[in-house]
Amino acid sequence: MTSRCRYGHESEAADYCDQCGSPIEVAVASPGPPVAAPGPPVAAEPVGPEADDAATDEVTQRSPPAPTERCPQCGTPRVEGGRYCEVDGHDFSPPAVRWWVEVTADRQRYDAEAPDGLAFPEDYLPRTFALDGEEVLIGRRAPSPPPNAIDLGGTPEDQAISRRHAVLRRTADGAYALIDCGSTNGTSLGRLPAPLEPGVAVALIDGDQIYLGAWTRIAVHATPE
Amino acid sequence: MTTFAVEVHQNEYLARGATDVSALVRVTATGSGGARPTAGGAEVIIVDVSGSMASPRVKIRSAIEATIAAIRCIRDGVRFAVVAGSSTAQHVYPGDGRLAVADDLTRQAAIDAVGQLRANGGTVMASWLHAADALFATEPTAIRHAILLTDGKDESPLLLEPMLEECAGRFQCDCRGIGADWEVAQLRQVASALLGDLGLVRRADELAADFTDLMERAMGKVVSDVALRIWVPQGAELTTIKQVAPGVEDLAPHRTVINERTGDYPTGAWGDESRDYHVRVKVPAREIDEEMLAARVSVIVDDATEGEGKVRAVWTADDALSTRLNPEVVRCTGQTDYADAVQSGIAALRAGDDVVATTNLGRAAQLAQALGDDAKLAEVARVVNIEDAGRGTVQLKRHVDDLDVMELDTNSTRTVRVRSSAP
Repeated sequence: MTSRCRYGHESEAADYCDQCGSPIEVAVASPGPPVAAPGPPVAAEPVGPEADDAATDEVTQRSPPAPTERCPQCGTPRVEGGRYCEVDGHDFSPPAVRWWVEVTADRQRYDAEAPDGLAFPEDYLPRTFALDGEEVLIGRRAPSPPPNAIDLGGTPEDQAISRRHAVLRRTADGAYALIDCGSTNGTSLGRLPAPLEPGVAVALIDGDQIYLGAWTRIAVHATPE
Repeated sequence: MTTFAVEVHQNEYLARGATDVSALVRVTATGSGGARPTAGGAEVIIVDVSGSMASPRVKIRSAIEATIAAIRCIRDGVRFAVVAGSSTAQHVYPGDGRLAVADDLTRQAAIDAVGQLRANGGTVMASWLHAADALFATEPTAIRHAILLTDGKDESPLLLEPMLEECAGRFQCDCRGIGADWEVAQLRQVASALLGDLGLVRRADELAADFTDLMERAMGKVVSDVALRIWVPQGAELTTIKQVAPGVEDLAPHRTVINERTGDYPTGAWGDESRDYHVRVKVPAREIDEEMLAARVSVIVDDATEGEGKVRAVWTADDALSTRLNPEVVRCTGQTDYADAVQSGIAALRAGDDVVATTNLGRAAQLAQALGDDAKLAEVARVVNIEDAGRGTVQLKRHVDDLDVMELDTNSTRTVRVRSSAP
């Protein structure tokens, strides 16, 4: 009987994963929902049942022959189920980094970019969103938005944001990349001189500032759990 | 029936971001008591009879006496032979390229043949090892052990190296140097390649006792070809795998790849005994409170796992936990550091680099003191004047006996284990 570790590796050994050495918590063959295993506290335990589902989804998605995933650093194909690149040790799924964003109204952006007739929302309360899933849509009142979308609709509302403005896509190393969906007014990244080319992914790092619309600034955070 | 137990001594707690996991793995075999090796034993005694053994005359006489003492220890039923080594190898007994079965008659016949040996010729160890290998090839299933006694330097190192590669894994060979004309590093190379023990015999009359001792140990081995199998997780690297007791021996060069994460390290034949290994793994750091299996150490006999130990890593924010030192690990790194310091010191001494020699031998004195090993401290003190062992301050002696340097060198990799209070 094989077991599966928290990183989704199949393991012949029942105590520790024989790929990454993580303690085995749940046996694959066991019926029913996964039971929280006793044992050492695991700080990086995903939050809530959704996270468990996401992990399961990832596993099911891997069953059909997926296109070979490659190391973003050196291009070496990823060994099936392997967490690290065999060549340079790049971590394909680093654990326990929580990506989240904080949306605020940015006065400087407004002063520089806003067309006439749009007021700056002095009373804007910052909103935070946890990034979760392979793709996170950033938009405003998109028709039937996915549950994990960052919907910037609602008062005060930045009218210069498109319905489907940009997407945050999870990268091979578990981080996120920003892609402009061909939005009307474009998307910028604070550290880049020019707005993003639509459809071109730019890997995000902790502390990045995304600018969109007339005054919206999205601060990107990657926090170790 | 021999059983193996594996104990792991370590501090598994790592600070945030730490990646270095160190453990002492103790493997203990029990239950062989009185058991005869199931596969039978095979023993070849190789004795140097090169021309240099003739002077002083007592040397060849002692070598003959020692060989006779060893022959007397060979148990009934063990297959054995005696090879005399010079520029070539001479089959002394039984003489037909085969092994004899030990009993009173064959032992006496071997003793008579050895008594006729005369010193003559050069020192080509490759030919001796080749002869032993050919003899052992007639008993492929036996526990194969050789003793090699020499007083000189090998004259054909170019032949020796490939021969060692050839013989590695086919038989084990304990090596003994007598006198001051052999080269420690060279004989250590032979002993290491053939998973044997290296020793210096200071006085010819000590030889018989030493050979008796070696032979008794060899006769106690009942399980052959025992290997350590070490698994490390993906992204981790086994940075150290050394035997640290009963002697310091780097096993890394003997690695056989099992798969990308697993390697086998041969440890030769075992009787009832205990050996310590230093296992050090560089692992990818994880978050606080996460646990990882950093290494799985298994004892492999005939492709079956006979014992297993786990080296773990647990990251903690508690400095009191992560900074704790495991006394067994401290001790074993002390042993290997001591051997390194002595060998570097002696190499510098030979190269005339007094500063490096003084530093390293000072460090050796310091480590010997820290290990509480008075015998080692005394050996260091014969080569340097120790001013303050605790601080590692020493002065080179004006005149040093070569044998003292060789003994310090030879014994640097031998370890005395102090029984730990821990279970």
